Amino acid sequence: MTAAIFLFLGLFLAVLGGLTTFLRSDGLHRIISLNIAGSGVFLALMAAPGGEEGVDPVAQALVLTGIVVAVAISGVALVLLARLAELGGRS
Amino acid sequence: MNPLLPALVAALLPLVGSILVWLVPSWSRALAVVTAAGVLVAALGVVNRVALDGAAMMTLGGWPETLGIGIAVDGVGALFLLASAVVGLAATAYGAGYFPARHPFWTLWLLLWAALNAVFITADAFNAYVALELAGLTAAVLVTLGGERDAMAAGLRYLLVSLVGATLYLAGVAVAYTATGTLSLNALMADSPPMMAGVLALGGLALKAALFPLHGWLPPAHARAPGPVSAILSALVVKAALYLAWRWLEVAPVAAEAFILLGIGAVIWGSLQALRVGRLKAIIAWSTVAQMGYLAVGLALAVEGAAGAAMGVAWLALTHALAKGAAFLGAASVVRAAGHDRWPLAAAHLRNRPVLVLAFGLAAASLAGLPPSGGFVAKWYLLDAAMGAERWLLAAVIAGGGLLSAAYLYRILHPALDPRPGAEASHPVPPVLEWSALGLALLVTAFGVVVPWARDLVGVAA
Repeated sequence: MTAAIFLFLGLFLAVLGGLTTFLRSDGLHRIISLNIAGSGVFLALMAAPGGEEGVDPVAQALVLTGIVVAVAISGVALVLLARLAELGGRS
Repeated sequence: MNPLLPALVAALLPLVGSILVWLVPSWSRALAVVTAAGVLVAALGVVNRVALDGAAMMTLGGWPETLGIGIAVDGVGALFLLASAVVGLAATAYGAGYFPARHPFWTLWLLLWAALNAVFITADAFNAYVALELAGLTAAVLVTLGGERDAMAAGLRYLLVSLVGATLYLAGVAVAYTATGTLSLNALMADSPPMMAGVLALGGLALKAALFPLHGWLPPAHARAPGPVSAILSALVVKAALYLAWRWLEVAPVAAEAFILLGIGAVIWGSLQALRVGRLKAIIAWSTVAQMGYLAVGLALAVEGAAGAAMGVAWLALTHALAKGAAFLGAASVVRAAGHDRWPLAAAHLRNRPVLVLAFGLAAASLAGLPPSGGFVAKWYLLDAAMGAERWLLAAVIAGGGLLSAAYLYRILHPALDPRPGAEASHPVPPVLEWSALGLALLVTAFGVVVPWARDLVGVAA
């Protein structure tokens, strides 16, 4: 039952974040909504495999690496956004 | 000797090189050239061993397959590795005359190169993800090295697209793993995971390979990047995603028809845009969108088993890498001489440079598929495969696309052949910049001749 709730929440967040990414053109909004969508995907992936009898460690490793990659990319994206703001104009 | 040993060297040598360059920045150019020569020797070793002994695969460290890092090379992987080594060497030589020694380009480029070569030798869907992300991150930062506003915006967009593609791909890998309990690409091919996994992974890869209509990020990123970076991005980085898409299409062949439709769209739309835009590097970047369409069509035909399609798509990937590398390196020299790339205004700086004009001419012949060039052979195989499968519409698109590419390449060559005297360069262009472009262009012409050897190599399957 808990797994189903997490799966539903994860997919909901993924769709919400994905839609916002498309609808907003502002850089910061996009980075944040992409992260929300990413978290949703990770949550769904964690909830889906094991069901009630716990989670597969390999799946956990996949999601953990995904989080690391998402954090790294978001960090570089924020630096670029700050540099763009310094150079002036709309992002 | 095992072909996996030189394959590992080809992936690890640039990694070691990037660390050394970061530690000793004043020696960066010499270190990078030595690394590039080493990678070329290793790639030639891989091609040689695969041709003689056949494909090979192993798991590093003796771990079971889900935990250990599986690496594999077959004929197709060896050809992608060869393309990466040759274009990489030319871009490094070009960079040595273009960037100063203490420049972030060197570390980032060698790191990117290590990631690309790792993609071409991996046998594991998840390690492919890690390598692909490393490539995406370094490539996006390389785009912004020029420091102009437009380059920053293009790099940021590229980075965010990369993140979306990565998340989709990872979701596909996770669904496939949940259903089958394996991450090995070969085992996935045998187990046929649910369609959802293939659709998610291929969607992410199509985004990263700039397959129409997901190509919007490519023209600004490739056109705004500094000279040699454009060549690396257009020749190699999109090919890494394409190579993985090939592996995943074998896992989920249901998506092949979609790739054919999108590929047709890319050929037409990319070529029309290349006819319209008014900047030299933008013309070449839109040409990449169109050529990725050819490659997508070829992949789908190869996965559906059309005779000769695998040879056509492997050869097109190799020759497109060389020809596009030559075109972008040539364009970078024009930009350096003119200070801008508005076209045909900047063409005056191409006129008194016979080496560059020859490089553009040979690269254009291969991109348009004119004989004798590697591109002609590749498109011949694709045309033959389409007609062999009795897909006449597809054959018409492949032939007509060649006509369209000839038209937009004519836009580059015609003002260059104007008999009026050329303009004085605003910045000096060292000879190594012109000759590295011509080297790639001569090689792609030579690849129109060595075909029988390559056909046997592509037949070496895993």
